[in-house]
Amino acid sequence: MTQAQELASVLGEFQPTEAQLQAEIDRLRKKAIMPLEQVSNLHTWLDGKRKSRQSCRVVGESRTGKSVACEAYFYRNKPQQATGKKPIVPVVYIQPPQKCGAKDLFKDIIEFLKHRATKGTISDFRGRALEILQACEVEILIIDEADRLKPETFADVRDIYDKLAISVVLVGTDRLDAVIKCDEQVYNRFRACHRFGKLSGEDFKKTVALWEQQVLKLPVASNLTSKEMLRILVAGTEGYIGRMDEMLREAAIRSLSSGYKKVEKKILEEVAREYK
Amino acid sequence: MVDSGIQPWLFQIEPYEGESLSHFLGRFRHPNHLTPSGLGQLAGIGAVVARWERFHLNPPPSQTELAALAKVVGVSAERLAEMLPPKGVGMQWTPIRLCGACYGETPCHRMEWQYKSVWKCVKHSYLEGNRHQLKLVSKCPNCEAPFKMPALWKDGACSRCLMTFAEMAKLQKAA
Repeated sequence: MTQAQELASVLGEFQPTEAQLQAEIDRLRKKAIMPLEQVSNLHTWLDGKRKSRQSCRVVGESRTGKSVACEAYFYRNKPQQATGKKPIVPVVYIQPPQKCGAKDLFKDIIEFLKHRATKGTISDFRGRALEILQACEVEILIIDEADRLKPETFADVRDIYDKLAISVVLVGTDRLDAVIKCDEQVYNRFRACHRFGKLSGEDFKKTVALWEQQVLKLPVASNLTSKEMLRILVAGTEGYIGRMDEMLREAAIRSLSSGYKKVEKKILEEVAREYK
Repeated sequence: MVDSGIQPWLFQIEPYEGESLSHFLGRFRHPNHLTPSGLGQLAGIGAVVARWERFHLNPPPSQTELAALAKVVGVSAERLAEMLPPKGVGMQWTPIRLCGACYGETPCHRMEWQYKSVWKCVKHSYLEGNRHQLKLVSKCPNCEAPFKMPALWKDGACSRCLMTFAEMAKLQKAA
């Protein structure tokens, strides 16, 4: 018997979770999009840029909810398509891979728009992506994690904006700002910037309350907006919405698994310690 | 990864009246950036597309093949069958022939131009009101270059001297 097997036999087998508990845990694992004020502000701002066909940046620290907010903007402007025909896609949202070159960028666009011709050389892809963007009547192209683009790929992003006159939005952290500022041709086209910040004060409290009611939905109220609970949350999340979402879900799942019907303070503290 | 909810698609092309299969396939492939083998793969019919585009229609396309192709190109299998020579009609796949006057009206290669029995245009006469009809041209009347297969007629012009097919009507002879 290996050491791990011995350890497992000493600790004993995990008791199978009840179906109901499992269903609750499954629900808590699912992604949820909440109507936050900073998200609707971003959407209104993006709408303005889309109408005026201006390019811009959305910058914010990691785990502040930029990606989810941009995804939600796509879902609020769903594509329309008759069977077998070309779709009308007002909003395109892509997340390029690491060290993304021009070919990967154009391939991502073509794949997002689900055109069936996905083979060819870089120049094939370049022309094809522009034709398809135009044919699908795309009004705004959102490139998330734009700092993953190679510096030379920004020239192609610039071309999309110049040739098609559609709004191109670069989303990323401050690292994106640093990359863009290296090339004045790019920087001049993406000057307009929306900062996606951390939550603080009353906003943070409101968001926690919303999360408790709409995301966690536990049988008993956990009173997460009480002073003590908020103190733990603020210390653990530092105002990052992504981290708050992770922490609250984790604490809720652990509390349910331990037989509680609400988020317990000691469990929340335990989870918060992991994030420090 | 965001699920765009879009179904895979290709640009759809409306066939012209009397258009040959070769010309239609070329027109369909071009905006969709597909090679003949790429189109064959999408339809699951293998490498026959390139043969059909060269009018190598022996053995003729089967109903199953046409049905599979129809799903991809968005045109019914019956309509595709109409782009082929009717049964019993002799066809010559080379040289490629055309009537410049017809092309000027409808920019496509007509299937009937490749029938063995057809050597003059049934629609256009030499001079208006004249009983002499226009002879089909089987090479460029300006530079004598043979015509490429219709699937490659992207610009509607001679590949060597760039004279447009429509302009060739002026140089067509009376039958």
